[in-house]
Amino acid sequence: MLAFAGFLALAACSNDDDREETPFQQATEIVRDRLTPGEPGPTLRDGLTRAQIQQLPGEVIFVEIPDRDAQALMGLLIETPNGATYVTPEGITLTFEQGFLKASRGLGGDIVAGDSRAIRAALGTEGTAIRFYDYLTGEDRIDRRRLTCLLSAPEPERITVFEVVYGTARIDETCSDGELVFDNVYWIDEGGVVRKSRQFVSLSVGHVIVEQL
Amino acid sequence: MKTSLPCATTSALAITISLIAAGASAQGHTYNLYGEPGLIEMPTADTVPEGEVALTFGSAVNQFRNTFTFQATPRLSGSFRYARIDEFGGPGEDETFDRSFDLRFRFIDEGVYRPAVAVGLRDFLGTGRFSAEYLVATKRIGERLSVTGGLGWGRLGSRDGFENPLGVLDEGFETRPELEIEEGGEVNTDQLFRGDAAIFGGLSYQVTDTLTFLAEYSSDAYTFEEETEVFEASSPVNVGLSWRPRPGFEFGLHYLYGEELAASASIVINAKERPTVGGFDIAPLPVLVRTQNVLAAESWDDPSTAAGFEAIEGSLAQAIEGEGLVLVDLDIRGSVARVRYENPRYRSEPQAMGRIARLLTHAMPPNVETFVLTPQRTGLPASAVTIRRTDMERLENQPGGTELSFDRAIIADAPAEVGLSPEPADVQRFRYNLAPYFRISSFDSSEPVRGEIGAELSASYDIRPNLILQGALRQRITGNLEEGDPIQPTGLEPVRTNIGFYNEADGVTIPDLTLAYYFKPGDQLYGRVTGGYLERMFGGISTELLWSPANSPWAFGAEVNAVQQRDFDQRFGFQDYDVVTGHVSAYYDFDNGFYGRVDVGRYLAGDSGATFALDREFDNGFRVGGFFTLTDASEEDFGEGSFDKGVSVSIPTDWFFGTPSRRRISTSLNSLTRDGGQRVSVPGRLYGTVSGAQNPDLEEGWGRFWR
Repeated sequence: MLAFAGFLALAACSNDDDREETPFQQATEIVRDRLTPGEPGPTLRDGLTRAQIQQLPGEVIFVEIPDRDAQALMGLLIETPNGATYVTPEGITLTFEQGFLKASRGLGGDIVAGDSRAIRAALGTEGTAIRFYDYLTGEDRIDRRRLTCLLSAPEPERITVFEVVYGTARIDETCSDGELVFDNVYWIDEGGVVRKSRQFVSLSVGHVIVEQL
Repeated sequence: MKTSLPCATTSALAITISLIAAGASAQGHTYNLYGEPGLIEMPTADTVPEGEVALTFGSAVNQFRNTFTFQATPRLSGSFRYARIDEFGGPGEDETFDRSFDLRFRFIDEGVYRPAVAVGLRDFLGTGRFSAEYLVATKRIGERLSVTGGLGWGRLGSRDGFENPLGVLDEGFETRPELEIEEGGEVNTDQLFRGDAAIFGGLSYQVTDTLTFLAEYSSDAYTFEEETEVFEASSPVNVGLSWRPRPGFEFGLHYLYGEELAASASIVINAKERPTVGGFDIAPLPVLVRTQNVLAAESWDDPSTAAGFEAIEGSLAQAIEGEGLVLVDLDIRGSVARVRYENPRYRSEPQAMGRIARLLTHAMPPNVETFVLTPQRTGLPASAVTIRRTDMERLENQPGGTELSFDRAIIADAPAEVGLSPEPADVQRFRYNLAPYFRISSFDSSEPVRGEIGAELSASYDIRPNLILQGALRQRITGNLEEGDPIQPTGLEPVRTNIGFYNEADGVTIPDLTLAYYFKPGDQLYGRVTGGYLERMFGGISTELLWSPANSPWAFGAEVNAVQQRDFDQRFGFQDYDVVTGHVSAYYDFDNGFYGRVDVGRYLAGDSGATFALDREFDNGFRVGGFFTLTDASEEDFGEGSFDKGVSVSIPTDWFFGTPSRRRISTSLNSLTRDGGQRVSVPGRLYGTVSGAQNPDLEEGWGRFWR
């Protein structure tokens, strides 16, 4: 027993800043994390006010991943013809093309690349369009998905995003390739800005709820 | 840099496998007490999903069987089994320990009316104590029921056996010769499908999503056990329940032969299904596209001036360092930027390349259109990959962009003329690490597992990027490795069977201490000279030359080592035995996930022969392999096992944790440690050093280019 205690006390030390933790340390952390029950506290959404939002520098979105009980503010990192990329302080990014999710990095089940051009062109009337997604699989291969998506006719709906009320058109989208099936919802204001959306990322991540602040 | 495997490997393996075994085999398949897809003791024609790995612990009659099973292709699977057989030879007699190998192949797929049909060999390479062959058919009827029938030989032909139907082909099939199991370990070709055959069969019925009922008629009469009065089967019928409380875990409880209860447990993972899917690596900086707005807003330093170049190089080096990579050299001429870098962070070299190429879109002036990236490993430039900036700008976030970016990249040899590495600025050259280590010895002759834990101080110093001094000190804290039964001596020089004496070493030991020099004598040639204490048991000089083109599935190497046996205390002294060993090696990447290797030469005990190795490596780095070595050492001299063979498993740590790393957790399940067919273990062998930064490995890892 003493020896085991000594073994645990033998904290690994190193001068190598780049060195990652040993597998043993990583495994120990996983065990500890699993054994420590999370304290349900006030969420980021509960505490965030419009006044605080107005203090935030740059362009910011509020993102929630319900399946992971995760919420975050994401700041605009860069906007290029390939999309607008937002980043969390932990280094997770989401890339949008005019409000439509195009790529993600750092979530685990990530979209490597997405194409929503046909969907965006078809907005406004009920109809179908094709959407492409490239996923990175656990085998490190690209899983290419060609999905047929059914778009609903816009329905007027008033939404509140952190105390501000917007008049929007709600559009529901159902996509399927026979195997993968998911729903997205977009609330688009009169200027064509996607004020709020609930968009599917992947089976392991679920949906993201995105609110333009 | 120290290239040996991390300490604490096996403990982490055990913890993490048990934590994250998930996502593996869906419903419909159960593992039997032999750890193969089957019912209770009988096999089925089921195959599990490709890449599935199962560890099964099963107790049956007087045996405790631990089986590792791997589904290598959709049709082919193999197993390695380590079993304890109690009262072997009669009541009150000692137990014996037995290693065996199985293979099975499904050659007919299930159709609407047609059953799946498979052929299998159990224990075809061991002592033959479980030796059996079978032909089995399984048909699913509806959603829940599946029915199996088969024809068995050997153990599976021992109950109510009848004349072998294969006798119509050749009378020789009708009798099964006695197996000479003095040494074991040979392919039992004289026995395969010979002797009486018998019928077995059964069914499985999925009662609920997690519970399956199993029943079978066993054709194993346990004849040997009955003869030695250890066990007598009163009924051929076995029944049982299999319970899968969650994916990745299976438990079985069975009533065997009308006599006794038996239990089994399996842990199942799938190599292709990384628990963290794409991993939690921090996102890369997106590509900066040269739009009119960007060109108008940004100003770039002029690389043709010394100050401008230094500014570019400085900021690029810092950004690359932020990615956990090291900028070794930068050269900008006209529209071409050449970058040489080291990648201590990402297992997939294309992922490092993708990140550097993205950073270059920010750092390079707009007229630079071509990036040439050269990954450097232990000072050796391994390849030169040319990527167009326009492709980076156009293909980012575009479906199909991964494949197109690979098609448009040019992979070439890094010319030898570029010389060996210049000194990278501000690179940390001295590294040390104090950490616990854990060693495990599995499946020795009397205990399934023995272990040792202690502290290890390791350090390395890069005198030059290609001249590396590295070593380690170890202090054992506790363990029972030294209590292992002395390994039965062989007729050869004891080069490995004296491991017990090394395990007894008290006080501080030096597991390795080497000076290694790497060089590149030609565009496709790599060289290495390593001197010092190469491993725990041998020290000396090791030299190696490797021909490995950046764009070829083939590589050839030659290695010569002059080594002397180290003192058991593993400090500075040597014993009398010295030997010159050497091999020529051929490596081939089959481009379907299989890697082959043949080494021909002289081994540590002075025996000559060849090693054949075949690995199945998935694109995510999860690797399972098997090898065998045939040498001119006679079976008598070699001792138990007849020749060296084994199975190895190597899992990248990013597979478990989802954070980028080049580390691996590796273990090998050798049949037995003997003296024949043993090679000296040298850190930093060249093929493993450079091949990951060359094709076909680059293509196989390209899925992470945009990650």
